[in-house]
Amino acid sequence: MTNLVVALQAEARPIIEAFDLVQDRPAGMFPVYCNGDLSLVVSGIGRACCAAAVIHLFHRTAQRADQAWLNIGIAGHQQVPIGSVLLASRITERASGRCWYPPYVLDIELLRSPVVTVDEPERCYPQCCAYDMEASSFYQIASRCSTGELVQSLKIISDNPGSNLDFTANQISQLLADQMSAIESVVGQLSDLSRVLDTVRVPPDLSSLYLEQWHFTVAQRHQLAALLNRLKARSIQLPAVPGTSEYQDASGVLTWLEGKLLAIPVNLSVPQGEDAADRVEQPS
Amino acid sequence: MIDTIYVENAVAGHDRTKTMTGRFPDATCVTCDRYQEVFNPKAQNFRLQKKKPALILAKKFGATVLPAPEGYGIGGEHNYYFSHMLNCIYDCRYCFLQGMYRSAHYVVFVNYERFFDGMAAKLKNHRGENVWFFSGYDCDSLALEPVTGFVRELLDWLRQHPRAQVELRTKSTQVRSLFETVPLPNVVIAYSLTPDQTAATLEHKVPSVEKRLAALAELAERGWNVGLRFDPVLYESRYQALYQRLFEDVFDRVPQNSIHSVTLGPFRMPKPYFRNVTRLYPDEALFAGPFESRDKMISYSMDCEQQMMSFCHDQLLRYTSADKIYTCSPSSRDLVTNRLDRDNLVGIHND
Repeated sequence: MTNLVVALQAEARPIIEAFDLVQDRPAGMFPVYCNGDLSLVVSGIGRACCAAAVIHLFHRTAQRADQAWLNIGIAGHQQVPIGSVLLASRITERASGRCWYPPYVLDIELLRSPVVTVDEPERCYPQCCAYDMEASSFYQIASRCSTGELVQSLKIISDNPGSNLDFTANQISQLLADQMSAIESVVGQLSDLSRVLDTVRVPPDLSSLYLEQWHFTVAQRHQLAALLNRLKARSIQLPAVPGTSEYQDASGVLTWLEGKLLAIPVNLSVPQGEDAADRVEQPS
Repeated sequence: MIDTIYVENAVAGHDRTKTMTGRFPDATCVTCDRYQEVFNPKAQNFRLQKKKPALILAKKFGATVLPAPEGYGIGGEHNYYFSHMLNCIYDCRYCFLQGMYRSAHYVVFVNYERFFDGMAAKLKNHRGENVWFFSGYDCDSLALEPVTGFVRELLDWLRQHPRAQVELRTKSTQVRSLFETVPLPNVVIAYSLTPDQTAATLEHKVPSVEKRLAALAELAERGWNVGLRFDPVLYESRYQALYQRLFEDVFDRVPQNSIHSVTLGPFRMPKPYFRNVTRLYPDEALFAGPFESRDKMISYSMDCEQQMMSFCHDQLLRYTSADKIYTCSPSSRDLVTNRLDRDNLVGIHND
């Protein structure tokens, strides 16, 4: 699941078109657009709206941990040319002085720059940074829903010192549209990363097959999950579920599973060469 | 290799910072006040960060040289460890670091002098006696040496302090800095070794055992004291065949007279760290056991551990003398010592 958070409808428009997003009905507090595993919320301008929109989207979607979150929007910058795209390397909230450092694990050649989140549009650009109005609250809240590597803020530079800040909606949409390939790359990589964390779990149907046939206490459910996990890690195929005539109760089933686990030989090794690509010392 | 370098403001102008950042001209440099702002936040995933760890250059405050954990020693009476770096460039699935830290970034403390001062203070505390210092507890001692140059400076310091005995524990073949200098009698280059096929599965981004053995053999040939570290010893159904083969290969390559010490240590990990790593890698066969919880540690059952340690110890005695063999966990030490007493052999020196 990948969640996009933008402040303005004008920023959302090219993204909605590129990803074929459809507005979620009935509309809630914030407009939400979806297509399969991708969702977008339009938060409105400023830290408070952005934080509220992240929470809204989290509750509106699957509410699963470790989804990807990407904040996309326009920002000013002291030096980086208008139309450029960058990812936040450090996010500073001017009001509180707090900083966040989104861990970067993407394989994309994008400029990275510190971003300062301000409460009023920045006209002086005192540091060599991007200036926006949402990134700090976005990161602060989204990183409570997910791990920091999956929470990134992407900014398209809309203004520099001396620029006119009265943008039309079309101008904003065009800035975003011109960087859609970069946006798609980041969205794609974040989605892939979140799938890495969609860890190999016990197949729910198998676990439920046990739960349907026998009564497990809460503690026994945990034991069952742990045993099935260990069996899955050890063997390619999980054993077929025994019949209720063979085992009267959950404790008998757990003992049977433990026996199965013990019977599997422990083999940590793979034949030579399988992991060869991995075995080159990292150059330093 | 490094895409992002975080630099503490306090060391931004440090010569070593400039040298290290200069090695990665394309990396994005991000300044921070304290490294913990980057390294410690909760919302981090070690497994994901291992894909692209950043370098953090920081200043070390407080104690730099700490007493070694119980059971950690190779014959010395006074044992300490230090970590000029946190985290390792390798990705060994059995490593406790992945359960201990939230971040996989490499932290390098650039004020090396503080570590040397810390060691000097310990030497002063133990006047006239040798003191052991272990490097490679929270990192690999040599793997990032071309970037940090720490060992080069450490060797210079050790030349002036012969009572300081140092173990550099490593899996790296980055031994150029050692080849460039005259071997020091107070340094042991200790290589961690695992059966080759197991290493292929569990030791990611690590030089093969064959390459490690080649580096070991060359170091020995050039006159360095070398150490052999079979730690952790991992259980597999055919562990006997695997370790027998490994010992044959090792002792075939490394001359007996250059071996300073051999250590054996069963797999063990503090319970909270184990919980963290199994969450990171639920599909990892290693973590499926057979383990039990003992003294706040996850380890093999006493029986299993005893059998493995006894077997490995017996095998090692075929190649080296008992007084060179040490064990790394208190329970195993007792097990092997008891066994040796029973068998009327020379006791293991590990106090």
